[in-house]
Amino acid sequence: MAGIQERLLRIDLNQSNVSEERLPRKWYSQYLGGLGLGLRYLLEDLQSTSSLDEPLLIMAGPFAGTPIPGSAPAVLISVSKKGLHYDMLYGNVAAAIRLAGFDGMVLNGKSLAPVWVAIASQGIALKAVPDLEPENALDTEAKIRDLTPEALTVLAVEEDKSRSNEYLEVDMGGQLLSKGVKAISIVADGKFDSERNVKDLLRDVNLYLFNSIKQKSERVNQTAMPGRKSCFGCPGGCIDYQRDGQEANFVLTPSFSSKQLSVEALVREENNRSLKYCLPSCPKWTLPQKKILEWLEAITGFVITADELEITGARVFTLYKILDMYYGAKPISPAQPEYLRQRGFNERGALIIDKLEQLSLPASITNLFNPK
Amino acid sequence: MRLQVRVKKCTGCQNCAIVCAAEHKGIFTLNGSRLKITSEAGSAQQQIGVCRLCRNCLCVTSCTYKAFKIDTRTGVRYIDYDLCQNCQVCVQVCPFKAVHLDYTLDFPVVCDLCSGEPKCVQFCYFGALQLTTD
Repeated sequence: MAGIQERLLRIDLNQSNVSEERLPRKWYSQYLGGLGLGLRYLLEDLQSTSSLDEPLLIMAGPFAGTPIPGSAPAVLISVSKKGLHYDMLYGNVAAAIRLAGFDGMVLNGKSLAPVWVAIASQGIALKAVPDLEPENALDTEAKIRDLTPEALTVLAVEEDKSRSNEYLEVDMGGQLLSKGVKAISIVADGKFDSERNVKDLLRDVNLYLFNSIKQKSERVNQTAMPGRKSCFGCPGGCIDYQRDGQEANFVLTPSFSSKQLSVEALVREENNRSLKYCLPSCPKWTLPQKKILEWLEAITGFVITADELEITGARVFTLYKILDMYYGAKPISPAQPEYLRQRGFNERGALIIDKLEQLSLPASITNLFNPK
Repeated sequence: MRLQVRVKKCTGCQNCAIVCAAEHKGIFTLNGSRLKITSEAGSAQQQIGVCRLCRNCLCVTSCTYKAFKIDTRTGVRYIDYDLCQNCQVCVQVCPFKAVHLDYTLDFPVVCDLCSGEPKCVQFCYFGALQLTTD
């Protein structure tokens, strides 16, 4: 199917086993990708007899791997004893996953020895970290880049957790380390097609970008100073490598932060946030709703109206709240009904359960939340 | 006419590479792109592997099979695939790492300047790639 790979990479660190899973097509239109798809996968896992062991998901959205501005982030979702967490992962990760032939990956369990997950469309391997104990994340990345120079991205984390590389949030780097994963490298040697002619789509994106930044083109050039770096496909140039030595930090680029296109009317705040994590789109680029819908159709063929987009946001947000409570991330109020307290639900649990009906989930899943 | 490369302006967004491959193959891929952007660990400095149209082109002089040629009208390099034996010497000798292997074709590819309208230049918003008639 155009625009999506329909493949999820499942890496079982307990068994050192790698497999692929096909995701249902309807999930893509219902949840778009990124956060929504990852959460839907977790929800499906709840009814599985062999549930995931503290999974960590890295999911790409439908725009990943294209030059659509702000499409670079991947969503990182983790389930641990601390509950359900998610965050954006910038750089080239999402594009690399998509161009390697997948829509996301699930890291399951924990490896006893530190591993380097080497991903390419030709094959996936779990390898020993080179030289066993590189001093820090940058050393790890450098060694891996020496071994696989064709890798588009290398995610590396280090033991002291004070610094992580390739824009990985420190706490999420810690999550990777807790699973025994020291590095992930991705060779983007695959491909994907789009529903509409790729050249027409690129012409449209190019036109939009030039219209958006033509007043600031001179300033864009000025921001591209040595030491600045962009995420995949983005003309932002927001990342300042020189600010804190080698650590990649985000700094706002004045020409983009001062005058973002407003789409506050797109959806309500929470739903909009959910959508942003689904596409996923960078907070610094607020694409016009019209363009989001146009490009979604051009890439994936999904004909989605503005109302449906809002419903998708609501669907994902509701699902997040359900899973957040299921994994016990929220404190339990003593005033809660007994059945909610037993399941770790908070005082909004009843409201959320009502919304289960709107999700059209299989009975086997809704029964998990059924007080009876 | 040739591409003028300003490495210090490159932020590594990969737009040039993805649009290059899209222009030549009609799909989203980095495999088959005529230029490649690479960087070292912990560095914002990029390396842009694209043909500079060197006067003393090692790719041309090193090709045993005379398959690596120069278009006499435009100066653009091209590979005659009827002659190419895929020895990949051009990939190895190019000092700018501007000749890339297309894993689908299983042959080397080199920048053809998109018939005078290079798409990479259109998508380079920082001016790292510009067209010049020097």
